[in-house]
Amino acid sequence: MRIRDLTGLAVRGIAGSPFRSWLIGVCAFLIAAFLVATVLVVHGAQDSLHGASERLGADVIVVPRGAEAQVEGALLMGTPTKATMPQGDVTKIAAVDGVAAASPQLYLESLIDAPCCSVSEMFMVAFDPATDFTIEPWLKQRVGGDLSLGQAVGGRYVFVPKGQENIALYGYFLSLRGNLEPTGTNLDRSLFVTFETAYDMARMSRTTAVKPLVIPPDAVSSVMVKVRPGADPQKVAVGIVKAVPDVNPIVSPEMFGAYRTQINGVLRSMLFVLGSITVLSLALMALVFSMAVHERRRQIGVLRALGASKGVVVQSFLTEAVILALAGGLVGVVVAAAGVYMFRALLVQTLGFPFLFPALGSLAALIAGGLALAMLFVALSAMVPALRISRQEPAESMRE
Amino acid sequence: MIALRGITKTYAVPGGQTITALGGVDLEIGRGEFLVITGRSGSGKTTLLNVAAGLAKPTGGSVLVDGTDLWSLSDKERSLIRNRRMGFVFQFPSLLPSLSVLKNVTLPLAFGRNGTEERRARGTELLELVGLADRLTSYPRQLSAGQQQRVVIARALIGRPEIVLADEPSSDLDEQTESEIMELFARIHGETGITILMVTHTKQLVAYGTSHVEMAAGGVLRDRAGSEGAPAE
Repeated sequence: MRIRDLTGLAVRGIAGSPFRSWLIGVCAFLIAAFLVATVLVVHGAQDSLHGASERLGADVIVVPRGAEAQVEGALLMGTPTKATMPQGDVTKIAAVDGVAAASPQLYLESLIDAPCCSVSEMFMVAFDPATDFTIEPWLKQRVGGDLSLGQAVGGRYVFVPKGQENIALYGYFLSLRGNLEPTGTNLDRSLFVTFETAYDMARMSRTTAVKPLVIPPDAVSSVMVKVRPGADPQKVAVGIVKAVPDVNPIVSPEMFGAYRTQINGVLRSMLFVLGSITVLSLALMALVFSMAVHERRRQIGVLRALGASKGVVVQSFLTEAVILALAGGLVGVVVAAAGVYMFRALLVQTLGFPFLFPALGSLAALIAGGLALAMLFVALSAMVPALRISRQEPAESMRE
Repeated sequence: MIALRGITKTYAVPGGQTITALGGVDLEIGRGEFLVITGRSGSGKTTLLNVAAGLAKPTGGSVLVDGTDLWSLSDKERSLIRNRRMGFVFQFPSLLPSLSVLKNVTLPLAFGRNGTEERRARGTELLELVGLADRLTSYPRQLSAGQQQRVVIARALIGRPEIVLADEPSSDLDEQTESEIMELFARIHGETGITILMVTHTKQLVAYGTSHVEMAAGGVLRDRAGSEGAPAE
């Protein structure tokens, strides 16, 4: 039987029972929508953490003992932190066996309603260009040079206010050299300046700002550590603890551990909801298809008498299932993707972990995958009753 | 053309019992014959037609279509034989309500490889033959029972079959429509020489056929030659 005829037969089957078709479409919608939403949220959160780790580029992040959550919160969510450790610790850490580079960062301030930022809060970070391996390589590659005094690099959402040439903070004018790639974390709304610029800004702010910028003396918030090629980050971390007892080194795979746990928790909950919806939808669809097959027994018998093989009967039901799955599933994936995109800020706020909406390529793959799975589930639910009726003798099917 | 050899057909019913619908029937349907099988309800005539058409598998015996055992073939091959060599007219309304008259008539061709134009031309020609050339785009619900049965006859002829199998084709019709339908069958048989196997409980319709077999209790009671057979035990 030609595909056009098969599709025509399936479309007539769909049109013949609008309520039944609507039910199947809704099931396909629910499966596809929840599947895509779950994968989008979890994938987006994991991507965001991965992006943040990549951006930081450190094998180990050393933070003051007991301040792990605060530092991770500052980096990912912009939660203000005052936890610091002495600047002298940086030298001790750099001297640990296996450490290739140790670069301090100081989380200066979370600025509310800063004029340079498309988000309500902006996070200011000072780094040391002499030892830095996070911002500097990017600067050299993309901007072609180091940051000099009065210059800054911004995250994705940091910009120079319209009509101005610089970003004015504490009455100090910063020139923006460029923007880093998005990570979906607080790094996107961070402004990176050198320690030299930060100190200059603090000094100037005493006379130019209503509320001056105060930098604690001899303090750093964290130390980014790059290990030597071949060195084991775990062993390096042990060495750091031995050399500097009041710090806690977090090895890259364990970085943002609390957030990973949180994401896994959300994943489990969403999988439970998705699983329940899928099982219920499968049961409902199987029931609806069984009813459809029963209703159309005689018609199927006639089709078999007219020359339709068992295969054609199964194919016509599967085509019907695939058309309904495509219609419902397509609406489902679009609604899910649009919903997650529109409410991504609310999601971050509610779920308490960072989120990065996937790039177009990944999104397309995700949508295609969601649709394919919805089609598979709907086709599976149609398969059993379709096979059952196809195996029945045509004469038996035609009997009242 | 079709030979039934020792056909038995039993059905299992709840309670572990079996019902014998056909008890060892031997019957031959020759090419060009218009065979009318009569019998009371439950005599096994519809079962016999279904078995002969490959719509029901016999419990025992063989169904030979031009010497080929129908049940030695795959489902696909059997379906192909039904599609290419057989046409069907059923007792119940068998048109698809969602298809137009023309599409219903050409439906069997959809299981083959015929082109759309070829189907349309053939369908129109047959609807002219059954007197419904003006109802191509109508839907079954817009037709009377008699007109619907004419459409079914046109559908049965669409694939230029060698045999038409008709199961009580006029049982739901009034007397006048019944005779119109039977005249149509006789005319088609006369003009095309197609083989027709028709089962009916109305003995008066025997006159339209070229031969007659009577069935009772799952067996042939009286064959063409008038010799008495034995009903099934």
